[in-house]
Amino acid sequence: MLEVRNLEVVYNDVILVLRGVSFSVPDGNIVALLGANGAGKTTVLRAISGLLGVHNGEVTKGEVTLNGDRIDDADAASIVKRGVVQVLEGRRIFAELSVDDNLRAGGYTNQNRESSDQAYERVMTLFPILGRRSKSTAGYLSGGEQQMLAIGRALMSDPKVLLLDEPSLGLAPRLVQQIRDIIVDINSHGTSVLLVEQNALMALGIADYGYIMETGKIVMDGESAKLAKDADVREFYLGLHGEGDERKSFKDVKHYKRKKRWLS
Amino acid sequence: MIVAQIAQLSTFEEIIQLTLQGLALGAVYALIALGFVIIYKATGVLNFAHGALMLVGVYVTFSLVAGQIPRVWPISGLGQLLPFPEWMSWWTGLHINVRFPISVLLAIVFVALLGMLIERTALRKLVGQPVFAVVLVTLGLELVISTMVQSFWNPLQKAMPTPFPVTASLRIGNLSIQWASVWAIIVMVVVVLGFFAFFKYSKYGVAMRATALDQEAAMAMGIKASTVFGLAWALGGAMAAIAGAMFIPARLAGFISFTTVRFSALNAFPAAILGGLDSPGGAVVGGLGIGVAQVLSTRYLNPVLADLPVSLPNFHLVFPYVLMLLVLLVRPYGLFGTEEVRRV
Repeated sequence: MLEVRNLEVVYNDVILVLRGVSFSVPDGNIVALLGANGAGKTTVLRAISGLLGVHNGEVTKGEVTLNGDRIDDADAASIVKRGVVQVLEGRRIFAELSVDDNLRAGGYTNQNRESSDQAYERVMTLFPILGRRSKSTAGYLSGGEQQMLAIGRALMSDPKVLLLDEPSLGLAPRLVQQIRDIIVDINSHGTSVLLVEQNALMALGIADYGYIMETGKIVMDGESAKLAKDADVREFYLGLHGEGDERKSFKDVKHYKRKKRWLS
Repeated sequence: MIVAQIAQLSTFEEIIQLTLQGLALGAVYALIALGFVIIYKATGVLNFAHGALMLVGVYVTFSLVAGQIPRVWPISGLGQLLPFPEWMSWWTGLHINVRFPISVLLAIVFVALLGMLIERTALRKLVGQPVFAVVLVTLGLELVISTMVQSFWNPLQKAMPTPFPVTASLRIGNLSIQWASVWAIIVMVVVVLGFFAFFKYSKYGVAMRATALDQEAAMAMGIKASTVFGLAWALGGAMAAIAGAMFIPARLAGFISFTTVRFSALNAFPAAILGGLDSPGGAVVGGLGIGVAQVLSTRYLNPVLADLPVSLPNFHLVFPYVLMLLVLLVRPYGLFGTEEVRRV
């Protein structure tokens, strides 16, 4: 189980981005982390995967634990070795390398020949398209294929917990469906998933549990089915409004009421 | 250099002969340029201290082969060379054919470690800083390292014992090419092929390429940037040392000249830029091309230009830069440099 307790993150020594975030990803679950732009979702992932340093950020309070062991002070490489791997936002594949080389880079920490072959086989079954294009330059794949490559690359290290940052970003609805099914498939093989998404409908559709973040705090959490029914969530993330789902125009909302605060 | 011999050859044979000599010189440039490109590609640092690494390689090789070490202490004794102590006499008694390769190997290890040390101490902290700052640091390192080499090893010409007598040549028909040059070419080919196999197929090669393209994404895969940086500098340093060890016998007939080595190493920069800064293959082609161009221009362009009303003697010294400018006019990213791959 991946647990984040009371996490506080500061960028450049001054910018307080996370203000006491706590949540957990139980083994074998899909947990969704939702929130608007700038809420700090990506920062949470960076804090877990040890990539804060690249962005001049640091964990100032709180802790991240994997099965009871603290990992917030470990470096990115050892966190990957322990089985937590992040798929960065915007795919970030190695554009000039071939598809196969991208996957080999993903399997860098996988020392064991046998288990890396197994991981490769698994990626090929999940994403047959990558097998067909294994020699082509990754930068020339389509957006959906690139996202699959990014996920496949992360799976090469045989992770216990997969951190997905906006996997549906910039994809056509059909491809979003496909990515969604893939996430469910990956999860059904025992990998826990922490899913950061703006597409709340998709995320809540597959997650067991959801958390909603706003300006560095978790403002709401619950079973995803329950969250999906919540009036505020429906209004702000799903674009649906109250009983009967009547469309509401911002024209009718008084100016001072437009800014919605959670829990106030 | 070997003007007496080429006088009897036909023009065609002469060109072949000079090209072979040029390839030997180019092999040296190619290795320096390759190391330079590896460091640039993996760490984003334009390492202007690369020529200084070659200097260190040359003088460490010299020290080991000749059995003379510089006196480092007291400071007033700088520039003094001490012979190896008594108990090392078995070493200088070894046949030169054994002593030379072992010395070169040790020098390679030494310069590789020096490269890693430089990266760790001077450049690691500069990751993410403006390119300009990093470049100035490497320029400063070049000055510091070459000045230290100069003061430790008295910079007067030194004769380095090598297994290649000046007179020993490989003869093919009318052509003759010195064994030192033949070896330089062979060693270059082996090192370059070895490097490319490593770069393409090994796990660390993939890690290096991945880090070069996207450092954060590579880190997210568990690739340690520090490992890759250290590896790149070690490889670059090792290649600089090999280049130095080949340069002295092949081009200077075993006589080390501080200034010649230092300024020849500079020619690897136009080689790397001409080939495309981010292309290891381009560095090799650029290095070989510039070597050949330089030797041919010494023979064919220098006499013509020296006779001009405004005499241009020693044009071959600047010819690599002229060539670089011409190539950049046509291909601004170098011969094999990649334009960004982007899905449209």
